Amino acid sequence: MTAPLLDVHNLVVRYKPRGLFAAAAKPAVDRVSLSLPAGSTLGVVGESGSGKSSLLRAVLRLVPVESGSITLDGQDWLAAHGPALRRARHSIGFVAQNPFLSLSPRLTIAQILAEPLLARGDKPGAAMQDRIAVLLSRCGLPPDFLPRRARELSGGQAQRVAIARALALSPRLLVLDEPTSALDVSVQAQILNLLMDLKADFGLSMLFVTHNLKVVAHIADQLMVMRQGSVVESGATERIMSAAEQLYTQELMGFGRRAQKSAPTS
Amino acid sequence: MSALARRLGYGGTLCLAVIVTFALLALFAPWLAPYPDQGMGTPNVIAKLKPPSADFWLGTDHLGRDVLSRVIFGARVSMSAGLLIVAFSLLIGLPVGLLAGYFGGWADEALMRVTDVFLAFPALLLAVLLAAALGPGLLNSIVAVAVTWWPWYARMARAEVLVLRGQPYVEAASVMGVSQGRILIRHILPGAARPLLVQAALDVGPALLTASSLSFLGLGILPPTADWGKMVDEGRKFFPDRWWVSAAPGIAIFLLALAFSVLGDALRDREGDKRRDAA
Repeated sequence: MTAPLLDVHNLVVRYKPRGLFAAAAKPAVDRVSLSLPAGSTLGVVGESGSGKSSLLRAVLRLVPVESGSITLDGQDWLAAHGPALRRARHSIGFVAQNPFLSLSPRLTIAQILAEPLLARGDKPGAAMQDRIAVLLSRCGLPPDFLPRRARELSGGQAQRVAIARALALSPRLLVLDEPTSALDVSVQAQILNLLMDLKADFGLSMLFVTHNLKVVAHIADQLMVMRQGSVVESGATERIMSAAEQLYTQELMGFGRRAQKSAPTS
Repeated sequence: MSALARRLGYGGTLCLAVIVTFALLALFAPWLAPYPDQGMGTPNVIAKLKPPSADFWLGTDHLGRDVLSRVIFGARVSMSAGLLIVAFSLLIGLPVGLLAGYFGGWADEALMRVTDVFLAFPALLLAVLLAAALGPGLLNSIVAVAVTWWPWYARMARAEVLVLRGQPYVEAASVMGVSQGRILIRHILPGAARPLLVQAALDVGPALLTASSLSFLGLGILPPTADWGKMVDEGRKFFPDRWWVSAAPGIAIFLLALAFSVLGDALRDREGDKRRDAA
């Protein structure tokens, strides 16, 4: 096997305690290691407060890392700063939970999709507009969405735009933060299918963070279960789904089932 | 036009009409004033301090000049003073607030402490001191008022940026590798600008009041140029016997300041509606 695309080793993320005499906070992410081979999908699962979002934000360089290392494509990802970091970020695509919050409310879809291309230094013009239209159609939306604004779209449509934006610079790694949690169940399946198609087409690797084990089992090759900042269990998806070693993982699976049954039909 | 009127409501539309009327008077003063040369300052001593009549609708002042013409020409000074004070204040306050709010840390501390120093002085007192130091003149009095005005915009811009900075779409832009300058201008500024512009519209009235106060105190534009604040001051000596000399420009100040305030209110209500809809 070749070197992993993303390699996280003994990562610790700790938020600063508030107040002069406050005790040092427990780390939000406590010595987590993971390795994501190129072309595969790792699902990170945990309930809220498990540290999965902090892990993701550390990988995106949105929160400072206390110790440990992150290697992206053989490069020390934590060493990049300033303009170098800005350039390096082009190789990671990010899809957030709520598309209506993560798409700028005052820009049109065309403008939103142009942003990453302009950030890379592409020249605006007809070629860029074509590229944007192609990008959007790859994500299942016709070009007549381009002049619209995010609030005129449905949740699923908006999330497709967010995915198109994440893929604009042909990143090798796609980081997804609960990309289906704000959507209803039928749309969730569509988005998951879209992601699987795109993954095959673009040769993507995905880091998929969610609280929903059902969703992630559908799409991930590997699973990692987190609780209170630490990894509880990790391994191939089939093994964990069929024979989880840890009680907590089993609980988490039961959780999903129960929630599914008792979910109100709205 | 009717859509705008519906949005602004009855009062807002009326105020807009008042402002537009004053703007047109200011713009076309040489053609609209009955005695343009007197409006610009030529004395006419044979007819001094005449009460309102068919010849002089609002009477004449101590140099025999037609008060109506003076009020019409004075609209030029007051309008531009009000608008320029707010424009200058935005020009300083908006960038300061944006930078302080966005970069935080020591930049925030430094910029906001400087802002606090300006806020520490009573606004009119500081303006009077500055105007006295700079010497009389329209531009000087505008600068003097703007210096006391911008800290409010800086604070407001900072507060808006602090809210917007944490928005997921701003975070998404930074994760995409968009430069900080572009994030600030393209993703944060449009959201922050709108409430600030509403506040600016609301402030034109008080700004032109302050400018008029300065020229009332003799620190504004120099005679013989017509200025409402100055005219009220000149008429003071003849009040209340020859009330029209002070009353006409006084009422003009009152009307225009009121119109800007009510229009700003109408705009703010509309903005409030929008925010509720978006939530």
